[in-house]
Amino acid sequence: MSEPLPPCVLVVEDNPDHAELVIAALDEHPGGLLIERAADGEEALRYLRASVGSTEGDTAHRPALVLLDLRLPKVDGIEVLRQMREDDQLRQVPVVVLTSSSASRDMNQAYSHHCNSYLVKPLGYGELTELMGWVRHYWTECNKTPREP
Amino acid sequence: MIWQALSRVERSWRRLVDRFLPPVATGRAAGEADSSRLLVSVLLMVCLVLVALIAAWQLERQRSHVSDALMLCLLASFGLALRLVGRGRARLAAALALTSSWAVLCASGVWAFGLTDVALPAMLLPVMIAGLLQHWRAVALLSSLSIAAAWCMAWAQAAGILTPRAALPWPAALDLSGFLVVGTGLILVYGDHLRGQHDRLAAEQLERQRVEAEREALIAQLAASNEALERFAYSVSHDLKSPLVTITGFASRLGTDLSSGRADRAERYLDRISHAAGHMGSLLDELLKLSRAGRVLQTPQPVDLGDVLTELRALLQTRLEAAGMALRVDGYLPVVRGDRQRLLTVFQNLIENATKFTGGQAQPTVTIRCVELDMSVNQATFAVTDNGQGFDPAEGERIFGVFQQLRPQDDGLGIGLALVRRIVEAHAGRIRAESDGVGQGACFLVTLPLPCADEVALS
Repeated sequence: MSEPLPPCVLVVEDNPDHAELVIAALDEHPGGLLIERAADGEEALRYLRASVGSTEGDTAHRPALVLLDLRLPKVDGIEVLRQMREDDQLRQVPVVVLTSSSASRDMNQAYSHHCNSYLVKPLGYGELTELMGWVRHYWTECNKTPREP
Repeated sequence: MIWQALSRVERSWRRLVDRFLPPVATGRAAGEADSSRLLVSVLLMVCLVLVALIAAWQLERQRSHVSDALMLCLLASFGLALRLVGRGRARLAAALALTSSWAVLCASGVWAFGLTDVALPAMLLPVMIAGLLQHWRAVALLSSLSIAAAWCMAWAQAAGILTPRAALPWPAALDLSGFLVVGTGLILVYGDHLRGQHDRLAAEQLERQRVEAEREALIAQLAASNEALERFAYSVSHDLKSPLVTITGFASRLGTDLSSGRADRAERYLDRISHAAGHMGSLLDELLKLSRAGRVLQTPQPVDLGDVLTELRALLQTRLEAAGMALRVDGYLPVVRGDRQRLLTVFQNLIENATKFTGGQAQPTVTIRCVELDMSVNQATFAVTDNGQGFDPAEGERIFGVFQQLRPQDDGLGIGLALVRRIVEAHAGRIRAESDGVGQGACFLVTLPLPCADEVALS
């Protein structure tokens, strides 16, 4: 019986500064967490499909949470969300939208494509750290998803 | 009461007409075609009733080959008139039906039974209808022909040519003439009045329709520009907020680091902060440029695009050489109408765009030519075609967005094409981009207004 892997969070963020801040904020909190980053929508989908495609090989670790930016190159966030929700194996992966947009149009779109939560990037690292603490605690520790979809 | 009854009669009449005379397609305005169709049909029905009356009367009094022949002629001319209505020649049909019924009435008056009291108003009837339907000249013609016919009859009787039964004595002919003259005068006055009113109403309606259409176009334009503004504000707020997140994020981290005595990462953080601030500054500069581009500064004037491209070739020489790109102008470029400096910016941006996205092409080329010259709307369309990287056709609209870049690693801020579109639209032009896909080259189609005729003459 091998040691259970720590929960994985996939951060989909094109802006390298924002990605660094979010990852650092997630890492501020105690407990093991595997953090993967995808720089665009295409890469995110590729990672997600690989994570469910191989059952035992575990080339990619199936994420307990996807933190998704909306404005992404190649395939944008909403499209990633849509494709995930159409995929039988990715449908139940929780997606928290994390974006700097507070436009109601974006919220409407994100919720109508079944995101699990919508968060606006706060201004200030302290606020971001606090927010990431809650997100991490709730989605990787409290929230349960079926192991086999 | 009377009006209600009349309008009921009018409604049932319309229904009857619609049943027996299906709508005709005419080249004229639909309203006019409709009203003349109605009038012609009224006229034809009246004439048919008259013919039936004459025929019944005729049968009762005597049998005459002349009247049978006249009846046949009349029916034939009505048949022809109906065909003409069917082909949309409503006014010609009305004239034919009118003249033939007038001729038959006169002829049967003369040959068959003389002009009796009944024939008198009957003779005026075609004149009246002509007054309402046709030109005043038709009224005058029919009326004077009627008078001439009466006078001929009176003369023929005085000369002893006609039998007394079919004759018209001089006093009766004079009475008839007076009756016709007064009646015609009245018809001319009222017919003119009615026609004038009709024409005025028709003109007013046309004007109303024009104003309405103009208003609707304005509303649509307003809605479109409102939507564009919304999209713009959304995009800008998002893009300006992004460096702020970076700045505040790294500033807080820097603060925490410094208060805990760590300084090793400070330089990197400061670097990030100043980079993001610089980025934000250039975004603001570009925004200002964009907002200025929306205004056409100078009064539009004829601009020789051939000239503009010669200037651009010199201006962009270094850049073209660096990209190893050939700039070609195919054929003749017509003179357009606009602000020369702004139009130069349009083509400069499009050419620079091509030098930026050569897609690793060994011999990158950008070609400019005029692809369409539409004199009916006074517009010319130019194609700026390159053999470079191209784009996914689904992105054809997005590339014109503010701060939109198809690939994040591309240099620039993603404002060039937004700027181009804004300038072109400020010139009441259009721009769209076409590509067969990534690696297939791109084509930008710019539609610009041509100078008005008097401006061409001046230049």
